[in-house]
Amino acid sequence: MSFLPFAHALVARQDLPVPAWLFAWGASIVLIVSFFALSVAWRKPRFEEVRWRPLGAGLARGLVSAPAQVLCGLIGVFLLGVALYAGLRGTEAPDRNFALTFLYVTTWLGFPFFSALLGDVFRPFNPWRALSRSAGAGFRAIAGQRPAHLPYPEKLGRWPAAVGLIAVVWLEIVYGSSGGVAVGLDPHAAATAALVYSGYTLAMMALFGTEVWCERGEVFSVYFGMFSQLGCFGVEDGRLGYRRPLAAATHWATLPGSAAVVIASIATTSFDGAQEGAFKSAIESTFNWFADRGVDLTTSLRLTDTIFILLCFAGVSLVYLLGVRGMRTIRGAPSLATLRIGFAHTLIPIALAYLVAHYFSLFVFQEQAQFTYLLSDPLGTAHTDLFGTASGGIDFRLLSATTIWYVQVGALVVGHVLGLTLAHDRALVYWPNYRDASRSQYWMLAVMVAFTCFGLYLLSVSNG
Amino acid sequence: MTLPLAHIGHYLWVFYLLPVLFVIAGILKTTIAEKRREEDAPPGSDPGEKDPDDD
Repeated sequence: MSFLPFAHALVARQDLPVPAWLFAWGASIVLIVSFFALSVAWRKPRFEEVRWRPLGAGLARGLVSAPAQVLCGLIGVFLLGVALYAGLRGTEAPDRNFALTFLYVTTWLGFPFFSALLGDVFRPFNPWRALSRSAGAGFRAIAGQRPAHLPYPEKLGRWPAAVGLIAVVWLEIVYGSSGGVAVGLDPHAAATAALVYSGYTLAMMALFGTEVWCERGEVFSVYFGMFSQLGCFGVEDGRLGYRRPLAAATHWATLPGSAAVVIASIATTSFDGAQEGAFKSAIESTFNWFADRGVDLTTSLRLTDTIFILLCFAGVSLVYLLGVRGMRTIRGAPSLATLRIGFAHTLIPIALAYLVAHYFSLFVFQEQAQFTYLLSDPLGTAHTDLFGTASGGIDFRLLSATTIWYVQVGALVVGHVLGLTLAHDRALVYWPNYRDASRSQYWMLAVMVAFTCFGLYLLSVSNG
Repeated sequence: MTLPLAHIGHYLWVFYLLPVLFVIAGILKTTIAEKRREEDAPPGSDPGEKDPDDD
């Protein structure tokens, strides 16, 4: 069975002028210099105000008008339908089936990238939101009243989305592995999971309301919405407008479980990058331990990988909490809970940096497949050529290993500098004296350096 | 004599850990120095330089 190498599609030894570990030292120096520059030059919070202003009237209203919403919703539902049909009826070869690349590459990786640039582009295309809103409109037309919903348990916050995020990645990189050999996810299993998820999501939307569930529990909305907070476009009062980049992120993490979502993103990406590299021998030892005790091989591997995903989550959480705990030592510090929530948004650029660093090459290469042979032959039967591109392929020369490495390093450095900037800006809210604010960020600097070096280590081991 | 470098690749992670340790050591040193300075300062005085923006 062929498989999609999701973790690091195309990696090779790079031709670097200096050892890879020196890049970690260089990145750390960049972070330290940025920290001192922020301490000296950035003395007032600048991101607390989003500074939204509408785009031109026609454009601002047109892009978010009801007809545009309906059209985007129809496109979303149609594409989900195609993916489900391809997954259920198409070939079992993951690399020839439209479903897997569409769900796990084009959607799962594409929306974070574009959301971070443009804002919440997933929202209008969200097929479950479109279906639920259509059902709600139908109910109103028949019953003459709005459907009643249960009050959402506010303590749950975004925890359902955090758990769901881990589950989505688990399905791809843990359930998709069996017998000690990575074999990628069976498209039929992916489509079945998507069907189950659709039923669950529509039920939750009916129970708690479409927008409430999208804001808190719908995995894709919450996950892509998180990255969209970095983007420079947002909708307010039914109008599309321009806002200060990064500023919207400062108000995102107020719901419980938001920190868990962003930590889950970093942890799952880290695990995906480490399972064939940095964690390989530890995973093998644990796998053997289970196998030696009579657990069958597939279950042993899934158990082992599940344990390591949870360990990654615990590890990333611990590093973040240490940074937050360090801030408590500064006079005038707010409570630990306030700090824990108040700085969670500073991890969003890091989560994005990890995504870009780990999946940039995979995305570039697989999108060539998506828009050539997978589009023309979505079922992978080799008998269909809808757009005349079925014979297309992937040009692996598009990116050299060295280019990929520099993009990875650049993404990690930029992501962590942005995280540091957001953290410094938030510190100025809690400590109006800029000296105290800077001192409070000593430990966040250590967190950022740790995440940067860890990220580069994972990449260097995987690439090497 | 041959240096036992055959397995040095297994310990490359140390080079990635060192910057983190340096930063932590720097933070600890600075924090301790600042605490000492605060303790040594006479009561009621601000041990730090006056912030021009505070005026």
